[in-house]
Parts: sequence; structure tokens; C-alpha cells
Amino acid sequence: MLRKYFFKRVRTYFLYMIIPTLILFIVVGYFFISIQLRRIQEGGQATLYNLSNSLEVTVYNLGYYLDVMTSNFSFSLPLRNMLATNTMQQSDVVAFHMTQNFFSSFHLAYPYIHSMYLYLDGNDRFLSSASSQIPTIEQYYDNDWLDIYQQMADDEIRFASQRQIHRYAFDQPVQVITLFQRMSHMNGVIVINIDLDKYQNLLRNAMVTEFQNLFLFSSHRDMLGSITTEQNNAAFERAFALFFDDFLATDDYATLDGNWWRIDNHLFFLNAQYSEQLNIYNVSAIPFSYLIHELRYYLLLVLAILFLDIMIVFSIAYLYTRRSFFFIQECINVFSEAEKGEEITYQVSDVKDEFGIILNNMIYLHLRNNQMKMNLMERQYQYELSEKAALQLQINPHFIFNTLQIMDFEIIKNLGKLSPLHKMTMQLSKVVKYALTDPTTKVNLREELEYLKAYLEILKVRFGDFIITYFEVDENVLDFEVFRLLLQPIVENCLEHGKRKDGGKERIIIKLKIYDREDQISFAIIDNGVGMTQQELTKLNQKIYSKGMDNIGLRNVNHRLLLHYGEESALQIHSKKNLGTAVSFRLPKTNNKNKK
Amino acid sequence: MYQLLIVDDEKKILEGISEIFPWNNIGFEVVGKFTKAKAALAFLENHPVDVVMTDISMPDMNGLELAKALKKYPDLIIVIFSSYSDYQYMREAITLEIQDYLLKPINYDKLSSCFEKIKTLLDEKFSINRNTDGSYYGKILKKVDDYLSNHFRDGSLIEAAELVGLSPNYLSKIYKENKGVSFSESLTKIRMQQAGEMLNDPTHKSYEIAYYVGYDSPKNFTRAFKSYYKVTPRDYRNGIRKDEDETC
Repeated sequence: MLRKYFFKRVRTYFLYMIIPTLILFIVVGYFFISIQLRRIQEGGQATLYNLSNSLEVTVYNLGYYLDVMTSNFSFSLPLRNMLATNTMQQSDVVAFHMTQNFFSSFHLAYPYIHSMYLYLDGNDRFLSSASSQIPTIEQYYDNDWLDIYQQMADDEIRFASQRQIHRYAFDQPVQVITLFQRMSHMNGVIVINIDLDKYQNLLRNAMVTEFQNLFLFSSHRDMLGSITTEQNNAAFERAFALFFDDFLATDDYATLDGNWWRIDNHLFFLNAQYSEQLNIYNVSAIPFSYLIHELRYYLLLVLAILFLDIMIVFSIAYLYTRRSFFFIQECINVFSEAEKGEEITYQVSDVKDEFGIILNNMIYLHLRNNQMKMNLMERQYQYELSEKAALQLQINPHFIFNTLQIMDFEIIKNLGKLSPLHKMTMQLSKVVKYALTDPTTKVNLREELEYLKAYLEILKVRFGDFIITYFEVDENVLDFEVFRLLLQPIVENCLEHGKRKDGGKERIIIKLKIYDREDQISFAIIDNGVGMTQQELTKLNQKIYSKGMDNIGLRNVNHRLLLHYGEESALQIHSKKNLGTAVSFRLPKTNNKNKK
Repeated sequence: MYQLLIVDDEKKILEGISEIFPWNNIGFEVVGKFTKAKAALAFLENHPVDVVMTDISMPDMNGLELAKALKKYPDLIIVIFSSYSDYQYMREAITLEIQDYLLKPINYDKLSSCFEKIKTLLDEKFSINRNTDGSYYGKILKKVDDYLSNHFRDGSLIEAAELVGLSPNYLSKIYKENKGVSFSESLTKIRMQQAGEMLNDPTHKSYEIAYYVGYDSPKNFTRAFKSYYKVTPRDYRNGIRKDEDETC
């Protein structure tokens, strides 16, 4: 029971709490994800933009300056001499130094530039920024660039290629991207070698996240360089190069830009850019896992809040269920206490819930009211009993009965058994005995009627034929249990108030009817006395229901009827002036056994 | 005659009950009257009796204690008479196998019934057949008839029985045996004759006559009248008669 209520409550509270929380999470999550997506897009673009700003502008400018330089006769002629002949004239030396200065200033400004070469077609020698001499190609440690240059198509002005420069045998070879730029006014080439490691370090700073991958491709779709963060670097690079190559074989690079693509079974967001100045492709790839990574904290937060929610729901449900059960238990206790007629011990104080307080108050007041009503009725009844008991104590019954006994003996001795006095004594004994018996002991209707007749017999001796009483009683109700002195006060009232005030000689006839009516017994005591006007009747009724101290018989009977049988058994009085009065009431048959 | 011993601390009552009640009529003889229980006990040591009737509240020894003390006479019949109708006493009386518990002031028909029962018990024990002579009954029945003609209005079998010192049941039985008609039939006959006479006097109202001849309900009177005269009181008053002798 408790468990069932508990889980029911948990479910309800959970729904109440979880629905708004989930909606909040979804909304926040949506915004969060869209912000992250925008960050990815903008990040990719920004990276590529930075790339073009750093590498391309620098390298393009460098190439441009060198090209401008070689277009100038004051430089181109000495250069041609320098490379063609071993001997240098004064002007050649100046030009050579100028070139060396130019080279070194670029080296200083851009440390990722490994070296620069100037070469004129058909010469054995070339100018190198890495050499203070004018080296011959054959003897120079780095000479495979010439092959690449010579393979370039005639109309190709610029070309990028990946190479290695191995200067010393003990040294690690340096990975470089080599840019070839044809001279515009001479037949020759400007070669710029970019140190890939250094350049990559530079690029890393420009990237938006550590998850980002960056690729440089030559116009021949060869990979020039890459910065990857995937676990399996080489494999991923190969896969990407393959993807890129396949893609560009059939489609334009621009299609790649700003879309999600599946590469090597992973989803990537690609940004691609083609640099005309350098004739290379720059591609940024941000993996989907970046999004997950960024969402990780958010999801953790969501889970934590959910967990917290559930904990709160459980504890609130537990507390409320326990309190509810405590409250219900309390109610049951109060009810059973009230039923048993015990003092109600329940105190309304510890319930904070407003419904609980209202309900508590209602129950409490209701029960209290009932209990007090019961107590009051009980007490009134007790009071009446004690009043009678007090009367009994004042006059010792032994005294009365022994006196009556002796009186009777004397009467019989002196007047004989047929004397009315003997009869009267016997009737009086009967009446006194009946009246003095414990009022709580039960009697049946037969006994009550017997007593009433004895009472009337005495009255008849007193008043002669002035009083006539008729009894119409159904035989089968004689064993019905009633309380003592039920009828006598009513009959007494008939005689008391029914008498003619003018002292007329007309006799009073009293008719007592007791009828058996299915589930109840109806009683009627009718007299032909003076009767009452409407006002007098109203007054009498008021008196019957008043709480005054004057002890009138009808009120006593009515009170006891209400106490024993309830409202339905109240006295009904009908009267008409100068015609008579009828007092009637009904007793339920079933109720009889249940009451005291 | 069976022997009876009475104990009551009040001398007047003791004398009253032993003298006024016609003990001889119902076959008892009062052989001892004591106001002190202990004196009664001492008397019983040497004078065995059949029945002891005792009050309860007495100064030296209460009636129930006496009854307890009398347990040593197993054949002795004990009757309590007291003004107590206390439940506790009654229960104690039952455990002591008291024959009867009579309440003061003594109700004569109950007293007669009680002692008739005792007499029957004793008769059976001693195998005595009750045979009483006609003159004894004649005297009783004469008394009853006198009573009936004078008290037809408020007369009752109970009162008549009390008058002759017999129980109502027993009186009813011997009345019927000796007269051929029951007590109540005789009473009704007298009442009806009276009613018939009164009906001839137009100043009497019908319900007054009913009351006068002893009916507490006019309906009952009419019913009884009709079954006696075969006509209603009203018809009777109007001169209509149905004489059974003529019709038969």
C-alpha cells in the first residue's frame, strides 16, 4: 500500500519535474549545438583566412619582389653575368650583396622560409639564400627542384610541390613546400622553400580548435602538407588525400566548402579554398567528434541535473507519502477513538499543508462536536439517574415497604381482605416498587401497563368514576422493551391539565392506544379534557424543548425518547380547545435492542 | 399439615404473615416464629420442619447466611421474602438453591402459588394424594360467588384467589371442576346481566356501561356482549332480542 502510493507519487512528481526540465534542455541544447555549428563553420573559414593572410600574402609578396627585382636591368644583367661566368665585376658584386641582404632580411622576417633560389634557364649555377657563394647545381645538396621546374608546363606560372632538403648526412632531412614562380621578364624561376615544421607550428596557432585538421594540396592534387589531430595520422592523411583527389577528379572544390562529408567513416565539416597566387588548395576539416567533445560538458550537466531531479523527486515523494500515511493513520485513530467514545487526543498543529489543516480542522471539529454532544446527553442522562438515586437514598425503600407491609396486615386484620384500603395498599406498593426500581433496568410493555393500571386504580379510588380509562393494545407488542415510566407521566399530564377549570362534573375519558405497525409501534394517549388553543400548544412545545429546571413530566418523557430512539420518536401533541388533547409517538422496533 | 418456620426481625410483620395468611387452607402450619436467625437455627436443631421462610436484612445474621447455614438439612425448603430486589442477592439466592424469592409487601397470589408449588413437591415426596372433602370446597366456592356478585366490576381471579388463600391457577381449576363453568365465564355472565339491565335504562351511555361492568375498552365490551346476547348493545337497547332457547 505504502509502496504503491510511493511509486505513484514518484511518477507524478517525476512527470511534473522532468517535462519542463527536458524542454529546457532541448531548447538550450538546440541553441548550444547551433552555436557550435556556427563556430565550426566560422572557425574553418577563419583558419583558411588566416592561412591566406600569412603564408600566401608573404610568399606571394616575396615572389613578387623577387620578380620585380629580376625585371630590373640593373639587377637582371649582373645576375645573368653572375650565373653565366665565374668572374664577377664590380656591379655584379654589388648586385650579389644586395640580393644576399634581401634574402637575409626575408629570413629574419619570416623564419619559416627555409631558403630562396634564383635560377636562369640554361645555367649551371643559381643564387641560393642558403649559400654565400654562387653554387653549381650539380654540387649543391639540394638539386632535385630543377627537375620539377623543368617538368612544369610552359604556361604554368606557379607550382607548389613537396620536397625534402637533406643538407648534411648527419642531419634530419627538412620537409619543405617548394613554390616555383616563373620570372615574368626573364627565362628563369624563383624558388621559395618553406620549412613545413615551422610553418605548421605557425598554423597551429591560427587554428580554432585542437580537433581541426588542415591540408594543403598542390594544383596536381598532391598533398603538400597537413596538420592532423586524428589518432592514426598517416592513415587518415592517406584517406583524406585519396578522398580529395577522387573528389576533385569529378567535382569542383567549392562544393566541398561549408558541408559535412564522410571520410574514412568519420564525419567532417570541410572548408576549402583555392589560392590563385600560389596555385594551391587549402582545406580545413573539423570532425564531428569536436561537436561531441564540446557537448560533453553540457551532456554531463544534463545528466547531473537529471540525477539530482530524480533524487529530489524520490525524497519529496518519500516525505510526502510518509506524511500522508501518518496523517491517514492519525485520522483513523481519531475516528476509532471517537467511535469508542474516548477522549480525542489528536492535536492539530504539525501539518503545514493548507488542505491538511482545513481537513484536520473539519474532522476535528466534527468529531469534537459529536463527542461533546454524546457527552452532554450522557451526562444529562446520568444526572437524571443520580437525581432519582438521591431520592431513593433519602427514603430507605425498606422503611417504605416494611411500613406498607405492616399497614396491609393491620388493614386486613381490622377491615378484611375486601376492604378497598387493602387493595389500595397493594396498588400503592406496586407503584412505589416500580418507581423505586433502578431506572436503567429494562421492562416490557406488559409490566409498564400493569404499573400504569395500578397507578390508575389508586386514582380511581381517589376520584371515583371521574376518570375512565380505555386501553386498546395490540397483544403482540406486550413483550416489547421500553424504558420505565414511559406512559405514566403522559397520562398524569392528561389528568393534570385536562381537568375542567370550572370544576364541571364531566368525567375525563382517557384512551390509550398501542398499535403494531410493521417496523414501529405507535402510541397515542387521547383525552377529552379542556384541550389547548394554538398559542397554549406552542407554549407547551417550547416548554418541552426548553432547558429549564422545572421538571415537567412531558419534557422528561420526550427527552428520554430522544435519547433512546432519536428524533423520529419525539412526542407529537395535537389539541383543540374544549375538545381534548392527543399525545402520540412512535418507537422503532429494530432500534430497541441496540440502545441502553 | 406441613410445618413452616418464619423468620423476620420485625415482630409485626412476623405476626402479620403468620396470622393473616390462611396457612391451614393450603396445608401448612406455622410451628415457629423468630425475630432472630440464630434462635431459629437453635430451634431447628431439635425441631425439624419442612419449610423455612426468612427475611434477608436482619441484625444478627442475614437471611442468606441463614440459608447457607441451613444447607446441612438437605430436605429443607427455603423461601426468601425481602424488600430487596437486588440482583446480587437474587444471584446468591439462586446459587443457594432457594425455592423462591418473594418481595415485600407480600403479593398474596404469588405467596399462594409459591406454597402450592412447595406443597406439591412435598406431596410427591411423601406420596400423599390430595383428597379434600366437598364441604371444604363448598365453603370456598360460596365465598368466591359472593365475591363475584359484589365485585363484578373490578373483580379478578387473582383477587378472588387471594380472598380464599389459594393460588389463581388452583382456584380456577377447582372452580371449573365443581361448577362446570370457568371463573371468567361466571364473571362475564354476571357482567352481562348487569349490562343488560343497565341498557334498559336510557340514561346510561353505552361506553359508561362498559366501564361500569368492568371493561377497560368499549370494543372488548361490545365483543363480549355480542357473544353473550348475540346482538350488539345498541340493538339490545332498541329492543331486539335473540333468545337462544326460542331459536333452538
